Amino acid sequence: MVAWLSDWLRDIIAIILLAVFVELLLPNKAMQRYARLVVGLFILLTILSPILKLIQSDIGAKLDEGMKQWSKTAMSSDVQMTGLNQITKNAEAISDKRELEAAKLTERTLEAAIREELIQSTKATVNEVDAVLKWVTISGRPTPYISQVTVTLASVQDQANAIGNGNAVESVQPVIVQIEIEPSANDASAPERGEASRGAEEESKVEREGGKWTETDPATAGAIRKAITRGWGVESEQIRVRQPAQQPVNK
Amino acid sequence: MEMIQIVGLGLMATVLILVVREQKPMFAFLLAAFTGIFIFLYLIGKIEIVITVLEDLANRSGIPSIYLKTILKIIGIAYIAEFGAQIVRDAGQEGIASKIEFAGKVFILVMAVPIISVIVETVIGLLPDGS
Repeated sequence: MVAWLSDWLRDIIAIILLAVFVELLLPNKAMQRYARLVVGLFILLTILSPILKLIQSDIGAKLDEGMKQWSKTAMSSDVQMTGLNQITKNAEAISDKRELEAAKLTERTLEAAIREELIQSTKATVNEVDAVLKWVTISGRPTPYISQVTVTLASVQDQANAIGNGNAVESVQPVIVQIEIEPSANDASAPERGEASRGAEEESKVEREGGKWTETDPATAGAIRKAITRGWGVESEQIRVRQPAQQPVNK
Repeated sequence: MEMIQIVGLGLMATVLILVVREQKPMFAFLLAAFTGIFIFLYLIGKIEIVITVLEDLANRSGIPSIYLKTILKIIGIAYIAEFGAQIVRDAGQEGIASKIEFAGKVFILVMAVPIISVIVETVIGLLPDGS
């Protein structure tokens, strides 16, 4: 009880001292009247604080809220000029856009480079290379890394056309495989996920996107993987090699 | 020592202004304004010491920081309004000067609004429900 009383008295004394200081600091008489009103309200609030505590426990929070609201309205009534915040926000948006462009460009360049390299080193007919870049923040700067590379080989027909009629045997193979796929085409992507993580030769076995993609022969896939892993340091699990399924004879 | 410097600066500025005023009233006003700004900024740095004492006092006792913040805002508003008003008054625009002072008063009163609302709520809460 005594401790509480002394606390209360100390608060009152402190706020009155503060009030005296403020009166001294104020520049002129005209302002003093108004400042005295506010300081007097504070003193009143301090004296009333035990009652306030009895009735409602959160005067401090309420006061804070009121002050925040006040400063917000004071801010919004300021001259409508493009604030520094707005400018920085705009700058961020612009730099984000630029980064996106840069990422796109990087991706395209990377894809072109991989494709070139693959064609040179493995002699495969690479139709398309799709590299997916992801961003990690290393010491404050977003840094790209290659999360997945999908290599699409030319379909077997095209390949056969391109190479000529030399290896007719190879063009037959995929047809058989495609029939193999079909029964399990219904069970959706879950097996594919599992398969993707299992390993190189199994991964290349089937690509079941509605039967659109078919296997590539393991030798080519392995060579492609090796080339990409060597050139760009991509884990071989992150590389998918696929080939469009051979269309049923379209003549 | 600093007091002498400030008074000397003020005297010099006054003499210069008296000399210049006859020929170019515009430059006299500029000189007055800049002297005022210089002294003001110089003293703002000194006031910091007093404010530090106030903060120390507030921290040592348990009064909420929002009180001190509001009081400091009031002092700031009062000083800035006073300063601006005096410069404008020097230029002879009594009307605008009093408007600036009026704005300062209004802002100080607006500061009191949250406190008043809390007190009013408490008083209303104290009263028994009139049923």
